[in-house]
Amino acid sequence: MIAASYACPNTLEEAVAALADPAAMVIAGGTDLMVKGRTRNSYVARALVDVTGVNEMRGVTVHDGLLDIGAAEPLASLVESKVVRSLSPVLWQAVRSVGGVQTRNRATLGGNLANACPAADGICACVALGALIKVVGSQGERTIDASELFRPCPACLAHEGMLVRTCLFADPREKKTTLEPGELIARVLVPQRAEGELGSYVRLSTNRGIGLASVTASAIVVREQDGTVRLARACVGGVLPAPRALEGSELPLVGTKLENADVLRCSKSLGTIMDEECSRLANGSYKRRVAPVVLGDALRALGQEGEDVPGVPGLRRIAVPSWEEDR
Amino acid sequence: MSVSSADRKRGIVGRSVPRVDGREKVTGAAAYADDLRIPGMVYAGCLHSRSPHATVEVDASAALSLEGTLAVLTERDFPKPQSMYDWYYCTSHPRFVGDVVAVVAARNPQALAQALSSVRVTYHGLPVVSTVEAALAADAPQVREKGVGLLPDGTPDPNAPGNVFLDSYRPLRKGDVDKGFSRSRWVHEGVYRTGYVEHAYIEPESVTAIPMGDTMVIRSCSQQGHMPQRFVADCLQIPMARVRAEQCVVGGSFGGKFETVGLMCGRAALVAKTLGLPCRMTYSREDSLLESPKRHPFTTRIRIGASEDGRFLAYEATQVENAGAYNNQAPWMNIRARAHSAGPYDIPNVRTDTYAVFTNNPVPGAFRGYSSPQVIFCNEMAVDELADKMGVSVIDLKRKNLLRQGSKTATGQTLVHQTLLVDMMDDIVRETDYRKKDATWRSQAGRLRRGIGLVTSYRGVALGGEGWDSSGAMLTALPDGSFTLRAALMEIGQGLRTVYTQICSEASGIASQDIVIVDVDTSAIPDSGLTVASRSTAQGGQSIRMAGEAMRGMLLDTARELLEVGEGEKVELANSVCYVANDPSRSVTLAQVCEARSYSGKPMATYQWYRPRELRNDDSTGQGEAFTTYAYGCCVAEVTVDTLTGKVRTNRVSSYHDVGKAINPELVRGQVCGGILMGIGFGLTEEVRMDRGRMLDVNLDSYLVPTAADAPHIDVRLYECDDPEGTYGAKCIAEAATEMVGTAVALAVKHAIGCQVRQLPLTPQRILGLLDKQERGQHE
Repeated sequence: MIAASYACPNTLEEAVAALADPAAMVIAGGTDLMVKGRTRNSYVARALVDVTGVNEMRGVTVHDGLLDIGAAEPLASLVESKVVRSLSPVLWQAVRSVGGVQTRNRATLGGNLANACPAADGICACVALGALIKVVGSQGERTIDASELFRPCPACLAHEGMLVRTCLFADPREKKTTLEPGELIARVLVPQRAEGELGSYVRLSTNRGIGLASVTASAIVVREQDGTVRLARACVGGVLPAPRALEGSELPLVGTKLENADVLRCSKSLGTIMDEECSRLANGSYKRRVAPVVLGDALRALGQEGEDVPGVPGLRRIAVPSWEEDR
Repeated sequence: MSVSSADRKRGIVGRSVPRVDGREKVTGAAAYADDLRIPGMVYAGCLHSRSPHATVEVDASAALSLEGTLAVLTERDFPKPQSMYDWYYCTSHPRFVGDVVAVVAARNPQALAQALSSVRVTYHGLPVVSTVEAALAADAPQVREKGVGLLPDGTPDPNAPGNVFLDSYRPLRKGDVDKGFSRSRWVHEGVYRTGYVEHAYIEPESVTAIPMGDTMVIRSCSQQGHMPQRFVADCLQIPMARVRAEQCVVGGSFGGKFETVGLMCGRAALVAKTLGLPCRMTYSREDSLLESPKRHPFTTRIRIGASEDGRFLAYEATQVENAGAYNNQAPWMNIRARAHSAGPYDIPNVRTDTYAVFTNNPVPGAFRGYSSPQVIFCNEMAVDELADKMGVSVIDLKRKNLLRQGSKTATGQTLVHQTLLVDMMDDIVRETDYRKKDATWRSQAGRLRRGIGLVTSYRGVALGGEGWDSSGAMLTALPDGSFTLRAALMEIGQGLRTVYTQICSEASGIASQDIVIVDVDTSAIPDSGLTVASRSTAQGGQSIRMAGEAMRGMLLDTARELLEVGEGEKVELANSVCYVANDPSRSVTLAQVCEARSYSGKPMATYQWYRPRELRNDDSTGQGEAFTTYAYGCCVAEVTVDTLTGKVRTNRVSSYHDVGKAINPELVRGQVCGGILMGIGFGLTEEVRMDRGRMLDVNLDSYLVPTAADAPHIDVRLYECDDPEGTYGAKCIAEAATEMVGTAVALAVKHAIGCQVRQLPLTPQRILGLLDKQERGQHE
């Protein structure tokens, strides 16, 4: 891969200064960018700013009920982090699903978000969890909801990026995110798992390879003592023009007991949304059919058909005895 | 040095010794073709056609104006644009998207990338034929001038134009099929299809051409050590003696690194000759997928008839392959596809026609199995559906019809050697609890459904009637008692160096650590034919054994002199020590023996050639002795199908193989495990999708190969038997390891969801389609 220049700042201030160049562009682990740069020669005129050495973008801390994750922290270290696993089991499960070991050693959570592939594991979890994104630029810093980071991208629907391939856009920031020129994602703030909160993360891929999922779904609920759902939020990846949180009327679960009929209603609601927004979806008829199933699985995992994932309090999965019996 | 009695007794054949090249591979020390660096080397690349069928005009002026560009070669720069293997080195009339329209050379890889993107190509589109059906349609455009039509009886008509590849036509005629069907109580008929499958070896193709005086030296990743010599001589139109090809470590091949690599050698050699500089050409994965051969897609119509009590009476099939735009392999592959066209069954009346048709699609070639994965799928599915129709267990149906010792195969060959197939099937049925699972899982209703499938197979060992299974080997003694062994068949990851070391050590008595296998080099060893057909151990090993035995005789002669033994005394050679049989304390080392030979002017090397017995076959009926012997196999796969998403999980695969003799059991197991993963890909996910001649999958992000995470629980069982044909009784494993697996998985899916399966691979989308069809059928 060829680029016009490559800078390796150590501080956020230096990084922001380097990004003032209109040709500048952030690179972190490079697991998406280097793939795009290899065949399409997209970065010959770009000044790459490698943020993996920026101190303020590394490390994981906990404060104010938030898990505060450095955007340039490699996913492998998040997978190994007991703090991440115990305070946000859903995020932990999602980042564990990204690529293979080699990819996770390089890839970062900030990169997973900023590449803005609608099927990215990290996006699905962050949106469902209501994560906040700390954005820094020459004008200062601002904090936005994860779902506000993304702009609708109809091209993504038609492209197989929604199926297996990585996104085509050389600079996803321009077309697919609300980041302004010169801005970068510095940290990701994930609300700590609330008392009684249950979550799930489900991904459907053709095989168990290290490739991109076809459809992802993540959900969290908090229930009253009697089992009535008090809070519910979900996200489905790989099917909508922009990742967004499903809640309220789009996820009619609050007030229910999370029974099968309630889950079916949510799946049906997703189907209606897809019919309205996903006419150009690549492999559309298949996805139209399975996305409600995957969302249903994520929700059912939280109810009676689900079980606790051993050793990860708060994380649920569907109990499927025969599927794994012979392993 | 002394010799323990254990050393004397223990042979090395049959032992799982570690791979001799294992350390260099796992430490990364192994030098692959692209690792070679030569001062002054230039970099070349190929511009592949964007159109599946067009005439093109190439404008190189912009590319040539760039500073780093050294040359842009087009068809007219090639002394002979079309190779002796049908494919083109370079053409102005591309017939598929992998055809090369220009070869570009530059000072470095960056300049090459820029030069390649600066070559302007104007395409004048021509009609595209992309499927077997379209190629056989009455008004189909003719893809190749040599294509012929069909007669009303479905056999080729040499006098009519069309798209049938006449040279690939292989008929099989045994008994009277019409009579067989007229006596049949049960008849099943169906059409079965398989798709384009990519080898997906880890190492993409790489070649280097180095002009040295009047000789062109080639170092490449070719699967065939000698083939680059032929291609380069052909491309440059120079004598083969002016080309020298040397082997590099090959990062996987599975049959694929033959034609494309040979063409690349020719192209790189022309660049090297034109510029007078060494030239490197390494493909990206995209280049590799575009141009490299694939597994032949089959479209097979089968009709099978059985008596009231389930004896197969008649079998009729038309096996049609998509040959792509060029084809060098179908004429040979179809000898095998014909011999196995009726499966491992004893059927008195068989009539099959096998041929390929030209299209504007990628060019299929040799791929692990060489037709057998496709033939087995079509054949075993048809037999399974017949059992469904008859309402009997397919195990019972098979038991009545499987080949046994003394049976006659479809080619009329009597099986004279041990034939273990029925025993193996009984074992696998018992060990996998097949009957219970078959019954329990037959009528499931839930979302997740389990299934089990069983495949039986027999495989002609080595080349058989496809060609001569000859091979040569040279064993050279060095004065210090070490030895170099040269063979012309190639280590391509299958473990051949290790196995040849074992065979040579067993035959000679030289300790295996004293034997070094030298890279194949056309200037040092004559050609032994192709490294194909799982032949290298069973047949290629014969000349290794002979060289070992000859060297043993030479060494013992000298040892007798050195030990001054009497007439009646016997001298033995084991573990690199010669000793008197009844007094092992009197001994000499091979270092002493070799030193003595060296100083007494005795020959230090032996070259041995093995030529197997001749097999006689009638090509007009396919009747005769198709192969010297056969390897037998049984495979059971167990799956879970998610009927809401169409996703399949392969839980368990049991693979039982009669290998004759396992020279190195652990290497055999390695082949079986790898073969299972490759077979699961063939059955479930792997298909290079085509759209009117354009390739939709050009990298491994969308072309899905199973990974270690997809590996099922694996049970391997190896059978050995007394078979006199191969080296130390060895038969084959490389292709046998993968040919049954995809079909076993597909049968398990069929069993789980209760739908007819007529096409591979069984992608989630296809499985949901089958379930929909089933549901519609139930509502009608």
